[in-house]
This record gives sequence, structure tokens and C-alpha cells, in this order.
Amino acid sequence: MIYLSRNMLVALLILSGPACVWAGAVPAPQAPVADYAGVIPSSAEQQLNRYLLELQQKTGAQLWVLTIDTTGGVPIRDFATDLVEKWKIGQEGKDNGVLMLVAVKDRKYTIEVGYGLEGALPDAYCANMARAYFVPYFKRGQFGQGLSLAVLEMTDTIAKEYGVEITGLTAPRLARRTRADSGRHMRRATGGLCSMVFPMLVMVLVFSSIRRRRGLSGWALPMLFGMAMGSSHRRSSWGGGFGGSGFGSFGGGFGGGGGGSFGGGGASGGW
Amino acid sequence: MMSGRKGGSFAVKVLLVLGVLLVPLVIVGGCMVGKYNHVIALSENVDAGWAQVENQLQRRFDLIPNLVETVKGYAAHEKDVFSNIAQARAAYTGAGTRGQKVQAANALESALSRLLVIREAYPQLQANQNFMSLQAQLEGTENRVAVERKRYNDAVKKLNTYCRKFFGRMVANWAGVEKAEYFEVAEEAKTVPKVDFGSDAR
Repeated sequence: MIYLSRNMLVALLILSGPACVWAGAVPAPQAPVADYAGVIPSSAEQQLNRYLLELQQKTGAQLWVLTIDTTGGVPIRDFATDLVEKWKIGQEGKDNGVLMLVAVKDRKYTIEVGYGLEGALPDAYCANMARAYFVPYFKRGQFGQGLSLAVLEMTDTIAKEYGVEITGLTAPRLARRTRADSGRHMRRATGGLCSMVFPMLVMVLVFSSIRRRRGLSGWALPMLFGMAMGSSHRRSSWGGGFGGSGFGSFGGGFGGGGGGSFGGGGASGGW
Repeated sequence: MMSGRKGGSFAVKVLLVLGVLLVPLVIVGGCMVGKYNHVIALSENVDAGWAQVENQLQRRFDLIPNLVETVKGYAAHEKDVFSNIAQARAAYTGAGTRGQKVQAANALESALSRLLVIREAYPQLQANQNFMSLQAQLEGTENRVAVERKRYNDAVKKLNTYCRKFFGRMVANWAGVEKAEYFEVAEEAKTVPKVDFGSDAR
């Protein structure tokens, strides 16, 4: 019952918007890496999928990579926000999902970070990583290479956050890279005060926002009542129900999103 | 026998009348409770959405002093930009109602976007790691504000639509729920601001 009412709450939060036309056009991924634009070599794709599935098994965190041709004129962050609301990457309650979206023809990328990972992957980290790996490689058309490096780096960071090891993964080590074309952006996100204070601020904000959300379950029950009795036009419009689809499916397979929510964390840009 | 049958049919009649009166009453009452709960939930959702918006506005607000200090180190003479930000920030602190906060937040947003435009004129600023990091944080925060603003507006739309319906209006009056205000984005925030650097600015 508690789960149900929380689901209702989530449904209310998610369904509150007008139906989003554009995001509906993107089919749900069948693996963590969904290369709809066809820019990642299949060997690299397989390797990334292996790492990402292992990350999901060991930590529950879901990092998805998506390449498309174009967002059709929609700002890429809006596009990505719709997708993560639809797919609900990450575990419910832990909100530990990440989406890397690249719109190849638009020359735009975005990294969306779920509430629960905003502490481990602050905006400045995402921005740095994108400038280090996405921009220089994407400029040369080496999407597989740029995405691989970024995924390795981020997978390593998430695994460290959870205190687990991913077999065979060596992170490219953002800190030591000194490429000429991106050197000035490369040094790791400002040592000292900023990198200490901001993650803490993020954590505090994340926790306080989570608590606020949790605090609402109290009225979800009367809501249920209202839904049952009133002439409600609200329906769960995605097949198979929402939430929990990722639970229990970690035994090697890719179970789709697990109910994680996002609040706009991450970074975006172009090349 | 006769009187007994009469009594029986009388009791049945009374029950029938009571039933005819009571059953619709129960049904209508049930519906009203449902609708009441529904409108309360809609209103709560709007408030929750607003709380999330305020969280993010506060986060942006807290980010500003660091950002301004960093930029000042390179562009101390851009006094207009800094004083605009300081004013907008003070206005946000002083804002009481939702409407005032929206207005102040929009003013702050446009003042901040001017700050980000002047960076183009200072290459050293863009080489500064601290600035790059603060800028990423600011962009992230702007996006969070946008996300929460959209969710809030969606919640307001649901509530207001409901409150405009015939029964909805009645129920809302009864529950003491009022329509909520949208978080309108300022027109100037939608366009990229132009900054006049003047001849002496460089």
C-alpha cells in the first residue's frame, strides 16, 4: 500500500505535464548503450554494455548512453528531461540514474544526473568531463572514442562512490590528462574550497528535497481515494505499470529503468 | 393477518422511501468526499512543486557571491552588471509572496545572464578553473530551476483547470482551495541579453 501510494505520487508528478510528443518518438533502449545514430563501433558498444550492466548489478546505479541524430529543434536538456521522466533510469527511491545523450547532427550533448548521484557527479565534474572527452573527440567525429572515455571515467567514479570494483575497467583518469586542445579546461575541478563545499551543498539540497518529497506520501492516500471516486482522467499511460520494473532484474539482464527521478542535475553543451 | 400484512407493507414502504432518499445521498456524499480529496491533493501538489522551485532558487542565490567575486577579479569595472545583480539579489531576499519571488527571480536571472555574457570579453576569465566550475554550477542550477518550474507550472495547470470546471469550482470553494499563479518566465529571459561594453570597457 505504501509502495502503491508512492507510485501514485510519482505518477502524479510525472503525468502532470501535457503529453510530450517528441520524446515519444525515441524507442526505449534494449541495453544501456542505445546507439540510434549509429556512431559507436559495435565492439566498443559491447564492451561498454558489459561494464554498465556490471555497474548496474553491483550498485543498482544505471548509466545509459543514447545517441540520436537530432532532437528536432527541441533544446537538448528539455528533450533529455522528457526521456528520463519517461524511462525512469535508476532505482526508485535511490534515484541513481544517469543519461548521456548525444544529438549527432545537432552537435549537442547533455549529461543528466539523477537526484541520488548529484553528490557523486556534481555539475562541474560533468561539465569538465564533457569538455575533456566529448568535445575534442566529437570534433573529429570519433564518437565511440569520446563516449567510451566518458563512460569509463563516470563508471569508475560511480563504482568508487559505492565502493565496488568493475572487472577490467581502468579509468582514463581525468586529472592527469593534458591534451593541448582542451588543456585549459582539463585540470580537475578546482581543488580547494569550491570542490569541498559544493558537493556538500548539493548533498544537503538533495536530501532536503528528497525529504520534502517523501513527506508528501501522507496525502497520496486521500489522493487514491479521490482517484477512485472522482471522475479522474489520470491513467498510467505507459504500459506495464510504473516503478519497480528494474527490481529483481539485475541478475545479468537489462531490465529497463527502475523508477529513478531527475531534477535537472548534470551539464550540457555543444562541439 | 390483515393488519400484520399492512404493517409489513408499511415497513417496506418506509424502508423504500428511506432507501430512495439515502442511497443517492450516500453516493453523492461519497463523490463529494472523493472530489474534495482530489482538489486538496491538487493544491498540495502545487505547494510541493513550489517548495522545489524555491529550493533551486535558493541554491542559485547562494552561488552568486562566489561567482561575482571571481568575475570581479577580472572585470572589476563592469560596475553596472554587479550592481544589477546585487539589487536583484536584495529584491529576492525581500520578496514575500510567490508573485514577488517570481518577479525577483526573473530579474536575478536576467542580471546573471548579463554576467555570463561579459565573460566573452575576458579570455583570462575563461581560463580560470574556479570560474569554469562556478559557471557549470550556475548552468546546472538554471536547468534545475527550469525543471522544477515546469513541474510546478504543470501542477498549477492541473489545479486551475480543475477549478474552472463546474463542479470543480464548487468543490474548490468548499475546500477553501484557490487557483494558483503560474511561474511565468520573463520575456527578457527568453532572449539572449546584449551587453554594451562601450569604448572604455576593455
